Amino acid sequence: MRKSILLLAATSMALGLLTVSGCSNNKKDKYTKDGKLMVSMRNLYFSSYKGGDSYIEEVENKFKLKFSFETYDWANWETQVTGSINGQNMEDVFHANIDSYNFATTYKFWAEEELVKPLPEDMSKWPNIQTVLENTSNIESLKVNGRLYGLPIAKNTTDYSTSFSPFTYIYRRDWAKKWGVYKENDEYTWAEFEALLEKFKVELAPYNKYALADVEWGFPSIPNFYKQVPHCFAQDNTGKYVCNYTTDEYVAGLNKSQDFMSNGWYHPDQNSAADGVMNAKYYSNQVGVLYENLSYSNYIALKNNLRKTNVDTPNFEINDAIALMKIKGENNKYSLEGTDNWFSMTFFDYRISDNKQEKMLDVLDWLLSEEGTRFSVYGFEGYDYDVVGGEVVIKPEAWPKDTNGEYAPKDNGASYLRNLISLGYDTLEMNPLTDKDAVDYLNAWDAEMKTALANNELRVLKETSEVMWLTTQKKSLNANNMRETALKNVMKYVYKNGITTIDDFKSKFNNKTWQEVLDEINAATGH
Amino acid sequence: MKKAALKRLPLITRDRPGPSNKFGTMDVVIFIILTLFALSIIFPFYYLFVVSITPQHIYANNPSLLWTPEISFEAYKNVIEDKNIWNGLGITLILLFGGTAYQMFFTVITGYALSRQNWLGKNFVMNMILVTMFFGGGLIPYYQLIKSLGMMNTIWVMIIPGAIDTFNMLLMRNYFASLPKELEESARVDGANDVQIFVKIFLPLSLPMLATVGLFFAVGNWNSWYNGMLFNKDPQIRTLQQVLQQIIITTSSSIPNPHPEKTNTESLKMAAIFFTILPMMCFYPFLQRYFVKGIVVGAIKG
Repeated sequence: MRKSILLLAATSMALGLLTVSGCSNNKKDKYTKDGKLMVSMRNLYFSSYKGGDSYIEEVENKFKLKFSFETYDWANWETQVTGSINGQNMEDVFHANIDSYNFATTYKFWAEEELVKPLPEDMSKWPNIQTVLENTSNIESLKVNGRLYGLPIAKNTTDYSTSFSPFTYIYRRDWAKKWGVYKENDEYTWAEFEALLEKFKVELAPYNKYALADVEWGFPSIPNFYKQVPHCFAQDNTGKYVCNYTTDEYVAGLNKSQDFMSNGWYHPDQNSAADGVMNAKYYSNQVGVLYENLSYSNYIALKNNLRKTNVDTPNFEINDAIALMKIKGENNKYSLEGTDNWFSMTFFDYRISDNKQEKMLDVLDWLLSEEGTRFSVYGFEGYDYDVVGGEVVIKPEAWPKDTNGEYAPKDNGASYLRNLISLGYDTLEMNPLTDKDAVDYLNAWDAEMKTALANNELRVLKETSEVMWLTTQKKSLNANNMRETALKNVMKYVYKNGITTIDDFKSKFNNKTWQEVLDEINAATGH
Repeated sequence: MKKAALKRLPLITRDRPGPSNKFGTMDVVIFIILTLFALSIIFPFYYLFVVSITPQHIYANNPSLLWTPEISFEAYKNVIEDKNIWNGLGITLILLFGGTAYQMFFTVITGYALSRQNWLGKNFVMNMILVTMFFGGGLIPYYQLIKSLGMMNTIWVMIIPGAIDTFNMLLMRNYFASLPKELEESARVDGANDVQIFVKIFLPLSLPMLATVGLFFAVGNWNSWYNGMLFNKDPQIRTLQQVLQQIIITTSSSIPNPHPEKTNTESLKMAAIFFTILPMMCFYPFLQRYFVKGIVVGAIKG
């Protein structure tokens, strides 16, 4: 009897829940009293921005729209996106992190289930957006049934040929000079790199400091100079996909990483450090070489922190403390990880009207135009800046400087809006807030690497598109877990902790899951 | 034989060292061990404070410092000037007082009702509440429910769903059940109704347990962040713990950020953490005895 009552109650509650949680299939366009169409948006980069400045009002008036801004927490971005999507509670326009490992369960799933609204088939009405899309790497892989279901947020809209990431080694050139291991133009052969690390180790050891550290999730970086592809799926001589971690090339890199650890070059806390710790050790003068993702914002953060740390250091030259190394591997080639020129996307809720989507595309297209870009960077012409002889001249009364004599950041809502389609690297050169020296330096490094690529002196590690974006069942289900488990085993082998022989290491990949996924990939790709 | 043994007893005790104010070797050893143990508990808090008042250039060059040669309250100034921290504190205080009072009310009256003699449906209600300890509806239905109730992006989502905590309710129920039934019977004879019996007799007798459960709720509310993270998008209604998490994470992320917030230093992080834990650190030592006492008392009768 009691069980029956419990069952009845549980069923009633479930039905009640289903009743109250029923969702509508469309959102009716809502307008403000003065006739502006209301648009809700959620983006990681809005941070504390809530609108209300004159710049955003100008955009709202221009396009007869009224925006509301919401944000995500940096730490909980993916959870919050998943919660919103599954709870049918997305904003009209929202932002999500998309990569080849979550592609099947996010973008592809959302598109197939039509939880996100596809872009119009004909994008010619928005030529600036169309240009960005044409310059987006792997754009074809993002199409589901021939349609694109979101806007990749460009890391660089003006030059998409950069096919490698800025993951590289940054080092204390000042220490290298002081200890006699500096090489001209920061160019090092593999032997010179090892000699530098040994010298750094000897000099730093008395102070409990170390020669080398990697960004936590990039450890170990050394196999990059050996392996064929960054993660799981390499190809053998016949083109057949095999486990990357057991290839001769990867194993050579792994053994080299073990040597680096045994030699005492690596910081010993690599296996336990939380995100950001190794970066902090570098700017705290605790390590001499750091492998990091040196996007402009990360480079600047590191530079500013180093400057603060060494405020009392006599004759400290910041640019000598944050120099980019150019290292050639044992095969006499540079090596960089390949990447796409985007990593997150702007989506439209499937329930919004075509009208609202088109109006938002109008806004983004305008923000990418010369006029819109200027507005998002400088503000109002005649108030924030003048154009004199074709050059922009900022009005000091409209853009105050801080106590260091540098332009102080000010909220310009248009720049936040522009982040829905561009990360803003295309405006770095013109932005008064930009550290021009840093941009020039990063660009020079970039140019050298491009030259090296053209001269066949640079290896770009990248999985093929056909396998990266493949969404077969077993791969979609297991690939992320396979990669994470593999990295744990890599860590164990490098630290000689639980896995001491290479045969033991390889045996970790000789299992049913790997075999089934590889078989599935090879069948799907015709190998 | 027994008598003889008893007679010898004083002699035996005289041979052994009796209670004394003198420290023996073992006392010294125990004292040292306990002191080291206490230091190991206190040291992280001390270190946290020292780093928070150390300028970055000193800390960075000597992270293992025991004291700082140069004291700077710049990090605390930054924390105090950070409006997000104060917003977070305001929200957390609302949860602390409002949420705790609300949770206490429902938990206590439910515990009391379920501790009384059999009434129709008592076991059913008890079982329904117990089920929630072992089985949840899942995140998505919960999300849908919150959304349907119109609590998204409101402070209510961090208060209302937590009306009854099953574990705390059981503690209260067991405590009420352990009090003599005769108290209720004699009050009835004197003409008291149910509400009067509860308010005038049982509540005053349950103060230790009320303090315990109140503290459980208060600590939970002070540390609350999950519901806020999941259901609230407005930075203005972030709890203090969410703000703290944001401060710590923004320095650690390698994801490019076109609008980087203030570059955080270790001292700023530590100052924010210290600011967040200070109230609990101040009150906890005086109140922690209730935790153990309350649980033990409440667990006597099942």
